[in-house]
Amino acid sequence: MFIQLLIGAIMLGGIYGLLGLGYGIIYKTSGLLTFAQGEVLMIGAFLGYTFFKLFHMPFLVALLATVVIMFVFGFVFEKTIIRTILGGGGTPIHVVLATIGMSIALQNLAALIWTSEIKQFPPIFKVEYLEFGTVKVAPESISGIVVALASMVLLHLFMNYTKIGTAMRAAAQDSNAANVCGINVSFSKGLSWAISSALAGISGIIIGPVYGVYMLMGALIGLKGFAAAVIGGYGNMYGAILGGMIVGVIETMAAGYLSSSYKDFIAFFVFIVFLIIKPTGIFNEKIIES
Amino acid sequence: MSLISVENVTMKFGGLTAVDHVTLQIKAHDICGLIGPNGAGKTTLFNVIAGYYKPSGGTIHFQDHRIDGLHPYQVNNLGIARTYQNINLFRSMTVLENIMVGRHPRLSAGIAGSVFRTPAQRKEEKELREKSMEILHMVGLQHKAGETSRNLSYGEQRRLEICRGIASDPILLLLDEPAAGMNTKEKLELVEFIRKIRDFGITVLVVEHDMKVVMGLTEYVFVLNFGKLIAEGQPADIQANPEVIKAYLGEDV
Amino acid sequence: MGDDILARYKNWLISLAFILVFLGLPAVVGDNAYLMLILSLSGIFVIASIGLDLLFGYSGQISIGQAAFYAVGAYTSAILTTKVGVNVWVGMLAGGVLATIFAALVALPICKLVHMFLALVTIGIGELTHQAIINLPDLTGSFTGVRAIPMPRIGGYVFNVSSYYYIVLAVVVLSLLVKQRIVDSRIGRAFIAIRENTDAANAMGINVTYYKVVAFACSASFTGIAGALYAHYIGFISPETFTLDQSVLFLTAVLCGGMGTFVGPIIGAVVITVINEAIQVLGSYQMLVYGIFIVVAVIYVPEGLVGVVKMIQRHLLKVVNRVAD
Repeated sequence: MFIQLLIGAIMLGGIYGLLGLGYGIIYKTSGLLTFAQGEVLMIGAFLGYTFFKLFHMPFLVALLATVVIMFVFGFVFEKTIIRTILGGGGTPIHVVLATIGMSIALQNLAALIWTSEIKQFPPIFKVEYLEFGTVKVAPESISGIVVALASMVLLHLFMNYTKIGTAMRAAAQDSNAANVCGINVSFSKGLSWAISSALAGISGIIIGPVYGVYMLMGALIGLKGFAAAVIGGYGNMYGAILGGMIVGVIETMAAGYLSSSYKDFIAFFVFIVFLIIKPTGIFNEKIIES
Repeated sequence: MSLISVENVTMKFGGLTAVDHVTLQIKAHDICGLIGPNGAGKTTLFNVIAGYYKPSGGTIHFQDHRIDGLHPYQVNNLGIARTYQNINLFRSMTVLENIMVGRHPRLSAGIAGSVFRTPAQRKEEKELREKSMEILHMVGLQHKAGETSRNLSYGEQRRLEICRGIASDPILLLLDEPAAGMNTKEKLELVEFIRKIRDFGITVLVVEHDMKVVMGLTEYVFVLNFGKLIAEGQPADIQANPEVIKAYLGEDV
Repeated sequence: MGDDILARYKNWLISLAFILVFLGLPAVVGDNAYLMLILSLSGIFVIASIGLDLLFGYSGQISIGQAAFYAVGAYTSAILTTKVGVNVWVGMLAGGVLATIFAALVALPICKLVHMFLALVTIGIGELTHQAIINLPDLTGSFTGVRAIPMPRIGGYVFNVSSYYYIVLAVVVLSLLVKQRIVDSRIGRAFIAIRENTDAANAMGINVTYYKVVAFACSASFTGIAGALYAHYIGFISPETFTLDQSVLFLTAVLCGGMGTFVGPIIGAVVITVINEAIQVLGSYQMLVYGIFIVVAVIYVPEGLVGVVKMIQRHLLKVVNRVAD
């Protein structure tokens, strides 16, 4: 049973990590917080479901299409709503509230378009279960882990080995200096929201086939993404991944060995303990403290 | 008998030593100056004395209390007040309210007293307003008592900042470049004001760049360079001290 | 000096006028049960908003977890009155007291955090409390909730859903009075100083940690009492009411009304309650509209409605001045 739980934990951990990555990228480039990641994940799951099941696209095409749409969505959201709020005298708190508003609207929108039933992905693979000795694993869990890892690797390569990625990191460290160097910081910020949305969309497609797709799937997951980001060190890419794994493991093991109703309590308890005792996270990111 | 005694204080930030084994004593009722080129560690030393930083080494004694490592509010409660190089007023509060906040440690009203408006609390608030207006009178700001402090002119804000500093009836007042950005007339008024403050019995330590102010105002001067105390003495002696001149003007003079 | 006295009495008179209006309201609209419901709910919301305004508007500490204090107040009173048979007034008071103590304990380790980290940890506290309610069925009944929460009584008279309005009105007036006294005192000045410039506040002799905790405690007193009032009004509480959504409602009310002002929380609470009820008619579209409303409000009214009122005042003044020329 332990292996079974571990695989589930790693998959969940991967998702929390991807969400945490998204939060971190946005924070590093614009200093802002968004509460909509969970709902973006949910929309991504619904889109993937629509493309795969209703339009009969091959799975990878559905995945790609979803990612592109979420990417554009994130970019547009930043350029329109975020810019307008900040330009009109809004503070980061107003942005937070706006993303909360967006998340509420998205939930309802999803219910209107896709109804509030739980949708199930049709099987992606021909095999229903993979068997390793006594362990039965759904291939979607494995593919989910693979997709998550692939995303993280691609992101790492992008941030560190491409011109745009390096420009983004420069803008994140010091936007004034970056501006002076000719880096388009404004574009960089839009890009960070775009990437975060794409990551959330991917997470949706990873988790959709395993747990089903429904309107409320994003709410708690979004919050646990925060836990991943904080535990690893808010803003640190590798920290988010590690933090995600930690949250995934703690939650799954608690559900498996204690009781599934306690898992959320324990996850949030660990989250709070980290915020109080080590808010800079495992990788010691600087935070604003009083 | 020294009022405050800084003993071998060092302040390190990572690899940078901002204050390097500084020892100095200030006698009560003196107006002392702390000078030195930019980056010499003057404001850092202020911050260490005021409790904002805990020194990496050394101790500080104030009136028989050991104060290094205390929180800023504890240092303030013991009788040390400070102003800032960049004006640090409570900008959305009125001029009068800024002074009233300054007097916080001398008041005693708590939640119960405030909510129930006990006679003691009401008396305390009334006396607080009167005393605060008196302080504003000293710098001619009494007619702006109800003005939001961010709307004041630069010079007025500077004066308000100093007033806020003396509102708690401190024993020692640390002034960080109070004359910055002032014209000659304002500087003369400032010197007069600081002398008046000393006449109230408050000891003053001033960081200043304007030599005329330092010469005209202070009775004893400490010179910092690269975090070290390189000279101390009467203003006239300091002015002539070759080490000091070298520090300000570089080696080739 | 004379103007000062006149100004002070002017405020008293205006307040008295408003109180009289609200006292007389039931005589006019009393038979419209729905309207009375909205008025009472608005009042309860106002009390909670005052709590958050003290915390966020005055001491600058953001909290998206006020539902936790709301819950402690509600459940404490509900449980004491239904399971232990405590008098309702005592129960409500106990709710407020327990919420205050809870907040003080929680605030101590978290008040050193600021901005988004404080926001996150308060969300965590809110969620933790929510989970605790769900996972303690013997105490809280978990999802079944607590039912048949009694109405308060004076002597032989038992309040009902209509006359409860007067209780809420009384507590609202009391809350506004207490808030004003706090704000206008050494405590309030310390709060504002901490919000404006924490380092300078520290240097002025203000024990920042102490006052931050006091701010949380005060905020929870109001919010806890509001929770208790809610419990006895509706007669039934369950974990669903005390979620992140509720905390967001409180925050929206305070932001949209205008923080750090006297009328801001009142306006915000009333507007949010009314909108909450109004969108019910939209059926399945209501949350969509609500979400969009929040986004639009944040974009166009960042200072809150109080800011809008001030803007209108300024425009009117300009027009009047131009006409007078």
